Amino acid sequence: MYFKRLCLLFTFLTFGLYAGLTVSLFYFWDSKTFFATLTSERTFFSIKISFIAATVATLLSLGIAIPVGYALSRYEFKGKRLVDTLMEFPMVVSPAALGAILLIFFNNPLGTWIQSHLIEFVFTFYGILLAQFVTVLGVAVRFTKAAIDNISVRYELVAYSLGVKPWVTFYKIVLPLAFRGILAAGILSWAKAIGEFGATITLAGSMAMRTETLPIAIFMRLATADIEGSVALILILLSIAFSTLYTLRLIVRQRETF
Amino acid sequence: MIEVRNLYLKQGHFELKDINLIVEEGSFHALIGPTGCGKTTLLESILGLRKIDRGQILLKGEEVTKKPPYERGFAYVPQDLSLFPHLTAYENILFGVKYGLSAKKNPNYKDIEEIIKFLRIEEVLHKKVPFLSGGEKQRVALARALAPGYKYLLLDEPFTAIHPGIRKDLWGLLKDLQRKYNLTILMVSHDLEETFFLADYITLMIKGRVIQSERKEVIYNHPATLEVAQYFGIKNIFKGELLRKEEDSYKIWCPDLASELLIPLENFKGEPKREFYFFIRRENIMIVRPDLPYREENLIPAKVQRIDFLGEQYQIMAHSLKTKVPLEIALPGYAFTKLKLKEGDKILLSLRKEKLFTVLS
Repeated sequence: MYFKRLCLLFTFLTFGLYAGLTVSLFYFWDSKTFFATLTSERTFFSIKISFIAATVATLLSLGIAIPVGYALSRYEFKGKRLVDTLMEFPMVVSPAALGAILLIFFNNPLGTWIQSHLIEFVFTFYGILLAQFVTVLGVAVRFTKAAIDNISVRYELVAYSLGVKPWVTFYKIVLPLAFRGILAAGILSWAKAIGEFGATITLAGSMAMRTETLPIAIFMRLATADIEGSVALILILLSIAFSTLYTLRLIVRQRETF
Repeated sequence: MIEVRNLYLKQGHFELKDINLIVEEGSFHALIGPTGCGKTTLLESILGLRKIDRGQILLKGEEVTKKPPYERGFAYVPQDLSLFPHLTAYENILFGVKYGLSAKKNPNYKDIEEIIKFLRIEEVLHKKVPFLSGGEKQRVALARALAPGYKYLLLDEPFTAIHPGIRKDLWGLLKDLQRKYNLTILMVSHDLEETFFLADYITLMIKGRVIQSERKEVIYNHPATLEVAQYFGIKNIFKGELLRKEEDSYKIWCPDLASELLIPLENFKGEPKREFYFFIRRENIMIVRPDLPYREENLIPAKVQRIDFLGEQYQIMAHSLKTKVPLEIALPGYAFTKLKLKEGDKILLSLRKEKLFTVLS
């Protein structure tokens, strides 16, 4: 009983910490500023760009994380441990450093060639996308691998014995069974992407109406001592993030068919 | 026919060594052995789920060693059944038919309906896997394995998780299924009762090697080694020394029991050696009733040490009066009641000579 109470105490303390920090924002609440910020074209652009970049970066990262997670979960190969460890790269390198690494890359001959012949990343929307993608890919791989690890490999072996090829087995057995885990990976990746700041500002800059995502917009307002404006943007970011996450959780719950 | 030739596989410290195995067409073959002997590994190698280092696997004379598992043509039911939990029973059954290679061959849905009917699972087809009982899951797994039309069925301890009360019903059902569809079955098992009930042939593996592979009657009466005899739970194993040949028997000396005994000629498999091991199963030792006529051969005076009630029968632990060597006897309840035995009683045991068999080596 004592153990249960202790665990619940820490749970409510954690909740209280985040809820308290959120509530404290209202100390600088100003309705006029909030609605002005909410309806401004600049904010709308930031919301749009943040939402699109986070969603595309998440989908791209999941598209890669699924085969990578499957390979790390199911196959043995030389250097597997090294590859597995390197997946932690974006988690151990600070976001600003990650952005700096990307910026440095686009200043070497290969990066310069990519910039001039393929896509321009530095100080563009694609830079935001790339910074967020690189940041969340490791998270997506880690969680996708965990989701696939939880599915017994025997399901696949049985499917093979029924004459079903690996591609079809993956699509019909592994993906549906790992759906919730992969969706959780997507949710976490998206949450991380929408709040991404360090790598994005380093690679894509902070140009209003071009590369200014919501976290960058918050930083810019704060840098000009516009606390009420910062609070308004923070509350907008929190509302978008939590309503998206909550909706996704509802969808998952509805799909819980077994 | 399924054939395995000189199969060798190494996994860490474990090896399957030069495995040779023939599963006759239309037969029920059991693969048994202690835990960790490699029987599941062998089954998975045949299925193509494990890469072998050398050797050949043939199906109907055609080598399938290099084929991927989905092209080999073996039906498979693993120990945990591995029914796909997100699908209904019917979707599980049709999975191989819809998405497997057999889908290209225009599957015969009439046959599938017949299998479903035969396995008595019509009522549960709409249920999702977590809502099926153990026995239903078992039958759905069998139907799923056979639906694509495979005739070679590989089973890995499929009855382990089934309640003992319904296990025997399923054994009967599987046997009927095999006869009806002329299936060739290779089943991994650790349950001796199940093995002898179902199998025509038994292969015993110990430490990654095939020790004996024979018809079940042969392996029952003539275990190849002491290890095999012990695996089959035979307790009354004694040393014997050949004395002479008599009309239809060999006269032997048993130092363990300090007695001369007779063993029929046909119960000596192979050339009789001067020294050997022989055994008698506990249910074949008779306790002589002095008031009734009995044969004056293979008699051992003994003393009752302990009596254990096992439900259908009693287990009597006795020891030879001459040498104190222990003997284990199983008595049906009615015989025990008539004998009115109690611990400490002196008894006369008859080791029925037609039930004495030699261990091959």
